[in-house]
Amino acid sequence: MFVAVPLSWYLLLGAALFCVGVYGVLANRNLILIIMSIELMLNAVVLNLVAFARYIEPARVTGKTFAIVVYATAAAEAALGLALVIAIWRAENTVAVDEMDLLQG
Amino acid sequence: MDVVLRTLLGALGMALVPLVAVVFLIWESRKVIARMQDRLGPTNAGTYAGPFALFQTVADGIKILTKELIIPQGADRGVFIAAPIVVVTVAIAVWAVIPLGPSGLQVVDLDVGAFYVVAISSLAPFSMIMAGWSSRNKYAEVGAFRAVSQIIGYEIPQVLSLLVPVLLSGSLRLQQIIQAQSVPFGAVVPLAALTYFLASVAELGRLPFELAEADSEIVAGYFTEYSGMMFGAFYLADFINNFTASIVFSVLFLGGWRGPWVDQVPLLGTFWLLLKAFMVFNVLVLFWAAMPRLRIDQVLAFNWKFLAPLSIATLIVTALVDKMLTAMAVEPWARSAGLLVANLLLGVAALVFLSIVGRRFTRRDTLRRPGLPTGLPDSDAA
Amino acid sequence: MSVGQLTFLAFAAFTLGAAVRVVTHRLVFHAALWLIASFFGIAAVYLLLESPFMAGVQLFIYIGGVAVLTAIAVMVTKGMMRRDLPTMANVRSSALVAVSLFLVMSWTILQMPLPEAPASPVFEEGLAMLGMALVDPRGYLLPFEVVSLMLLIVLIGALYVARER
Repeated sequence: MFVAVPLSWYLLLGAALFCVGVYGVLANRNLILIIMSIELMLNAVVLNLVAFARYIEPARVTGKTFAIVVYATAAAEAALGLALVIAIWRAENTVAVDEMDLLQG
Repeated sequence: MDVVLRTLLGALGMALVPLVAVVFLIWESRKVIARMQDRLGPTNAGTYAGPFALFQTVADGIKILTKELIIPQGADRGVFIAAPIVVVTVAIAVWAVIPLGPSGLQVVDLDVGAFYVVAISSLAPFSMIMAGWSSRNKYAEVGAFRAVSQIIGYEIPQVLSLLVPVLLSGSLRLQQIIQAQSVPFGAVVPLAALTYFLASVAELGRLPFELAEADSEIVAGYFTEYSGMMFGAFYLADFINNFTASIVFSVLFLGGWRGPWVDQVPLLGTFWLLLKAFMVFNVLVLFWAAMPRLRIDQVLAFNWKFLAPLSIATLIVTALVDKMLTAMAVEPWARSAGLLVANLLLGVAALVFLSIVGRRFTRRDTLRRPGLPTGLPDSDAA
Repeated sequence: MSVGQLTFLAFAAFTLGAAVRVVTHRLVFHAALWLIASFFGIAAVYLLLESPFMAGVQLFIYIGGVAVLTAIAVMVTKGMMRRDLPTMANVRSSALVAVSLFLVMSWTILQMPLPEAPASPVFEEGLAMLGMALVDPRGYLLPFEVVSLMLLIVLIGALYVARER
């Protein structure tokens, strides 16, 4: 009765989440939403890694280690991005990316 | 299919344990606090509520259930109603891994049980943010910020000192941690137990760290705008969290269900665990009754400048001493004694360090304002 | 359709729905809450992949850390007050980009010969193995130390960037 889930389904879920994140990054004006979409993309990547680690060769820990490194990097990047958001908010009182054009020539 | 059914029934039963226990624990804490304040607490002076007013909490619950649920007009309805649901769910969800007995009295014996406890209790701040934000109330937002900064700050010493029993027993499974405690870890690594206890008190929002609900300062913190059963849900979740923290502390540091005669009568294990959790819960109640409240800057300074470095140091020292003693292949009692000595030395070193730093600060203060009496025996500011 | 496949489809649908709600929001704070919901969905998928450690890490780091931080940033920047709708041109072109990317990726995935079932024997988590690999000099000690150094740098950098002036 228990037919297993094919690996391609997990990869398709990861691909779909990644593309939703891409849409979020491209279509949003709010910097915080862009950071949230990047987090979504990184989550999709880790989902791919863990799915591969489970299906191909569960005895190796390479997939899980890579996943942990990606988690740490993603958390660090989110923290730094949000610190930048707060700094920009204090300086310019806006978080819309098309209003941040101080460097525009 | 019957495995699924048994698991579901077990989960339901396990979810009922904190709910039923909390009814009597609220009554008991009210009685204890009242006696400490030289009054009687809930009695049968009015409506009858059971012998010694045992079912006072049931009466309170009925009262709260019949109150009107007032939702402020500007509040965000969906999030406002979801916040108490989330907080109660998170409070009960920890009970899925708590081992109530030596065999089988546990919903699921996760390989990563201790980590699951930590992960679920880290979901608490997000319900506070939901409550604080959706109330659209300055006091609620301020209360939410303070509570969240306190909780995510104190997670660090909590997790680091939780790693010490994990280190000593070699596994994250709660049953294995209990089985490795032939001597309770509270007697082997008292410093780690103390840091875990203090961090838990701060996580629970108990006095002296009761900033989230500082009733004389910010009305009622992040649940200012809640009334009726929604407030009842926050109150209930607070007490469930207290009981859960007491049980987790007993499992990690006091030996769990271990006790005399457990081998013959396994059900006695549940009794010992509940007894230990009850004692720890009473310590929390006595904190509530007796201690004043700290300020937010004192709370954060205590965490980042003292408790977090101390828990890192405890973990490092315990790991080193444990590895050394294991490599020298001494008997178990010598290993426990060695760890105990190392812990006590570290505690003494921390206290000495504190007193040196404290004296330096006080003396610096004295030097800035010469002539003022400081009360120190060696004040030579004149 | 077996129970396992149905469970996966339910969790996947929930996660995708929440993710779509993140990017098609009306209020920024609601988008943050839907992000938390999609993280929960992904944690559930990790449990289906028999990896409770990864699920716990997802809960602890993402929901208990990153999502809380995001919600605080939203509250500080008063993101809830404005209704930030993306401009129309961006919507169509970015949707085109996203959909075409998804089509390319799914075509590639379906072309590859992938296993239909997880590799057996059903291997338990092996947390001890993971921990030992992370501190083994012939294993992954160097990435581990580099990651901790990176976290330290990011911690100092974030404190510096966001300090009160």
